[in-house]
Amino acid sequence: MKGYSCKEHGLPKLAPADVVLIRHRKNLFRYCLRKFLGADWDHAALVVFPRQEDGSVEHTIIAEAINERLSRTERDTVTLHRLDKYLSHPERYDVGVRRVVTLNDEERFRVVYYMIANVDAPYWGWNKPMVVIALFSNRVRRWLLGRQRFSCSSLIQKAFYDAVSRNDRKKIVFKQDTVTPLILQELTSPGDLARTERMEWILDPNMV
Amino acid sequence: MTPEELRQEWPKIEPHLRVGDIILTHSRRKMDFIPRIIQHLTDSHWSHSALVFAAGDMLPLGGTIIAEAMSPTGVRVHNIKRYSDHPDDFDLGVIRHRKMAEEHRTDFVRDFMASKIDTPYDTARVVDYGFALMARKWFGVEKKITEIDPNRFHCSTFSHRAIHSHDVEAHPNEHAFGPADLVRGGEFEWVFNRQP
Repeated sequence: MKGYSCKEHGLPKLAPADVVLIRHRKNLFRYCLRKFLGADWDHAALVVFPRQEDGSVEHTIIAEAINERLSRTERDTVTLHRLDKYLSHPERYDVGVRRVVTLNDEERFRVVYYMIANVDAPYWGWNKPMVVIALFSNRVRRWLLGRQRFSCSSLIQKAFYDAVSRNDRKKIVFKQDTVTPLILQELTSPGDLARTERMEWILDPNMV
Repeated sequence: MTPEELRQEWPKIEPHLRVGDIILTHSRRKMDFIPRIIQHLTDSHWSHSALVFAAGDMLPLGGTIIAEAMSPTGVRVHNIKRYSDHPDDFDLGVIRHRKMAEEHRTDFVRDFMASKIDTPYDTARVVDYGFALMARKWFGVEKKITEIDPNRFHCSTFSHRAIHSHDVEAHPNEHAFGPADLVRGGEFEWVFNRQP
């Protein structure tokens, strides 16, 4: 799948609560994760402040749950970054954007507020050895898919779940065949966000 | 303020924080040499500043999110609990701009802070500022400080420029900015824990 050299000025106009999907290129663990998930995407983030044409917000800011070392003693958890972090390196990342078009403005802002309120929340890592083992065993794969949390995408699912009223929750359920809200909110993966019919593609690099 | 006093008083003030309020920090940790040097050179209790990025307006369940420029990460957003949950390690103060309209806080200041996330830290200027302070304090010599790089920040230039984000022209005081300058500048009033 080809990448594209495109920074923010070439993007369609983004909105708060747009879901950004990322695929890491040339990364063995991320490749294994995608195979495990059966998906084209291995990370997810959420647009919290889209770039404004009037210059009041110069860069699109995303919220994401990551596990990045900041310094000798500090690791990133849930944090805000520029979307440029991914767009500026098309040789390392593919980027897609999806949107829940059925949300109103107030619901979008509630999704954003939820993400911001969770800045510095803990990151739940994925079990890398088990993911590799799951590539060779369907039994292990099914077992692990039933309990592996994905911090990045489950946080996004939680944000949407929290933002809408109880009667509207069906429009923001991104994971198929979930039995309980707990399973929905804890186990939603980047693949679920990519596959769901509840969102439309705003930017799909498969179409480039 | 002692750690015990801070434990008791901080929960009373936190719900009243507003976007654009400046959080001042003082490190009590014995091994934090850089903050101690800053405090000594500036004759101030304070060694670092951050800005309130989101408070009750965005966080109906409470809590406070701050934006700060720190070495080596640059401008980042954090939960204030990284300081307020550790009163044995940090003292906290709050100052507020005297004349900032409420709509400026969200329309200008927060947009500015959001725009500058991931901006690199201005290490060179902090080092230069440190030498200038040493020259003034120990030798009575005024050393010229390098011009500000508009694409980098340290804690106080970030705070100052965010507060003045609605001013198009460069602010004349900006070339000598540390946390102590924010405190003594006269633009701000004390909200919590007044210290020099």
